[in-house]
Order: sequence, then C-alpha cells, then structure tokens
Amino acid sequence: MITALGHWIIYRILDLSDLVGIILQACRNLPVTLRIGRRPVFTVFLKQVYFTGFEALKVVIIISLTIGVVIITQIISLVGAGNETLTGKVLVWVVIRELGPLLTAIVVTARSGTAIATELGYMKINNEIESIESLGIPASQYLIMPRIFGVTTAVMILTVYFEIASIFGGFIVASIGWHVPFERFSEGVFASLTLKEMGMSVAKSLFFGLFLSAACCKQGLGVGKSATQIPQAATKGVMQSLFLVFLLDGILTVVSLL
Amino acid sequence: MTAATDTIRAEGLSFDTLPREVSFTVEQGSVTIVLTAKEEIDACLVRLLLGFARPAGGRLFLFGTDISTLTDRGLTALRQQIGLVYASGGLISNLKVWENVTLPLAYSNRFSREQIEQMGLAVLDRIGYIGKLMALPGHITLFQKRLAGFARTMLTDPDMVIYESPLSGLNQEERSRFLSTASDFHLEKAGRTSLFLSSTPEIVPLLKNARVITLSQGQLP
Repeated sequence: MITALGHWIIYRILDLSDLVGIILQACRNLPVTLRIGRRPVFTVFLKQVYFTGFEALKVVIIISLTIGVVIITQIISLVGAGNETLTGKVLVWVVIRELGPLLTAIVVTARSGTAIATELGYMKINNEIESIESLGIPASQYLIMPRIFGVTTAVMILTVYFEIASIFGGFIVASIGWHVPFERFSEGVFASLTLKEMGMSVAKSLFFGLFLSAACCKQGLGVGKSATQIPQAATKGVMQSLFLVFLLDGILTVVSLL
Repeated sequence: MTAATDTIRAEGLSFDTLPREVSFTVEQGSVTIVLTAKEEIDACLVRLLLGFARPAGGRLFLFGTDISTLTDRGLTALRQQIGLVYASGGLISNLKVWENVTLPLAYSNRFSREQIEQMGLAVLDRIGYIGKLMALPGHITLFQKRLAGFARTMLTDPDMVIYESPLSGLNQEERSRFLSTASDFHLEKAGRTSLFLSSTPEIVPLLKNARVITLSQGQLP
C-alpha cells in the first residue's frame, strides 16, 4: 500500500516536471519564433484562441450567468437583502477568487483539452508530426507552443467574461427578486474588488491554462501506433488536467493567504 | 570519415526491417535508386536518414556528418537541406492543400505573402497540379497529394531529395509524369542528389543513368 502510494507520488512528480519542461520549452521557443516561423505559428495561435476562446464563449456565459444567479440567491437567503456590502464581498470572493478561473478551466479542459489530445494523437499516428519535422520545422515550435499560449490566452479572457457575466447575473436576480438598486449593488462589489483579488484571478487562470494545455499536448504526443490510444490519450489528458487544476487552485489559494 | 563527394554513406547499417548489415554510398549530384524488398523498408530508411530513428547497428553519414552525433537543433538544420516526397504525400491533415504547399516558405520568413503566392502557383502549375487548392488533403486523390507534397519540396530548393516509394499507388501515366518532373528538378541545381527508395523494380528503366543499389542482396559495391 505504502509502496504503491510512493510510486504514485513519484510518478506524479515526474509527470509534473515533464509538464514544467514543456512549458519552459514553449517559453524558450517564443524569441526564436519572432525570428523564424512567425507567420504560420501565429496562425496556429489565432486558430487555437478562436476554437478555445471564441467558440466556448456561449457555454461559459450561460454557465456563469447561472452561477451568478445561484450564488446571489444563496447569499441573500443567508444574510438577507439589506446587506449589500457583505453580499458583494461574498460574490467577489466566490466568483473572482475561486469559481471564475476554476470553472472556466474545467469547461476549457472538457472542450479543448480533449480536442488537442485527440488531434495531436491522430497526427502522431499518421506520421504528420514527423512530416512537419522533416521540413525542418520543430513540432515543439509549430504545434505545441501556439497551442499552449493560445489555450492560456483563451482561459484568461474567458475567465474575465465569466466573472463579469456572473456578477451581472447576480445583479439581475437581486434587482428583480429583492429590488436592490444598481448603485448599492455595485458599491458592495467594487468595495471588495481589490487589486489582489483580480491579481489572484489572473494568476490562477494563467497557471490553469499553461498546465492544462501542456498536459493535453503531452498526452496527445504520447500516442504510439494504435488508434485505440487516441481516446485513451484524450481521457488521460482530461483527468490529468483536472487533477492539476484542483492541485494548483489549492496551492495558489494557500500561497495567497501567506 | 566520409568522402567529401558522398552525400550519404552507410557503414554496416542494420535496423528492424533489415537485419542484415548493409553498406553503401550515395554520391553528391547523383541520381540513385535504392531497391528494397518491401515498402516498409523504404519508410524505415526515410526515418533513419532524417534522424527520426536510430539504426540497430552501424553508422550513417549525411553531408559528411554522423547523424547520431547531431543535437535536435543540428537535426533541424540538416532536415532543412533535405526535401522528402512521402509516398502518401506527407500533407498535414488540418491544413488546406495550399497551406501545406507554402508552409516551408511561410515558415522561413524570407518571402512576402505576394512572393509566396507567386512561387507557389508557379510550382503547382509546373508540376501540373489541377486539384482543389483550398480543400483539406482528405478530399483529394493520392496522386494529387503526392504532387502537392512534391511541390512543397520543390519550393524548399533542397540539396538532396528523397523519394519514398515513388511508384506506389500510381498508374503508368502518373508514374512517367512524376518521374519526368523529378528528373527535370534534379538538373535544376548543381550538386543536387536525388535518392529514390523503391521496392518496385519497374523504376529502373524509367530513370535512365541512375545508379542502382539493391538492398535485399546484402553488402553492396
């Protein structure tokens, strides 16, 4: 039992170091890309932002509006309708600090994480990755780097949309259900919305985006010669991404309190 | 150490699909046919020559360098000197045919969009590509894929061109057309080496003056 646990921990640490290596490699490739390969790599980046960010916007907005409605209803049922400062504080804490980056990362993992792992796995099986490298184009520069930065950019932008829509959804319910005026509601929200809260949200979405995309890229590239490995890679990519997102969320939350 | 005029020198080379050791050289500027026992060996040789796989035994020199000593960056630089025409075309499935053809030029950062468009259209016209340019590779025929892959190679102006199983899947007319274009392309650059890896002996009469190396017969002169 202890041996198995030890193996599992060692495996996770090695896995994490691999992912850190992939992310650092992507960062190292950035200045190289400015000199050579800028145009095609930027095209891949833009496509990734479009598929991950723009196409997921509708889903994220619907989820965030619903979450805003649920949270504000729960807060008002707990503290009553007259306490806008506390309502705003709890809304900011819950949405900006936690749920915004977390749920956005989960939606992106479910939509784009699987797509990335599947696409790279398919390319690996069909020798397309070797075909790209045979042209003297490193796969890490043309395929991996723009996907990692594209997903990360999309997660960060989607998180902002999520948070705005959540607060807006909360206001709509508070306004219709409890006749809370916009001025008082926004006062409560803005009083709690400090630079630290926003910085934490940005830091979380940045780390979530980097690690979830690196995990899915790694699983996709790890596909061997069998087609059955493609869905396995997608499943592993999603599970690993979710594990990392929750782990990083815990670490960053604890660090922010120190 | 390999002679300065050898583009490829294999010394006691062995790998999974060819357990018997082979040694051969491919001279710079030559047209060489390597006849193999099956297409699987062609694919394996391509992987060895481009440094994607390591031989089970022996050494392989390209342009005078033992490729097993090269770093990732060195291999990338080496691959930029080589043009490879895959049997399947080697196109990227999520890029349109046009994007596939012009990818190396766009990547090189040396040409404007207008220049890339002119060069791409000229080379496609030259090789007689008449398929869709804005379609994904899954929607075109094998011959069209091969031509698009060849056009992509031609645009990189390589020092050596490797043709993997060039006759595979083509009819008589397509074979003649393809090899004729390949022969013309060979003559366009002084010192360019053309290496045809094929398991089809019918290629020998189609490429006159080519040196033939038969791998299935073991050690070569």
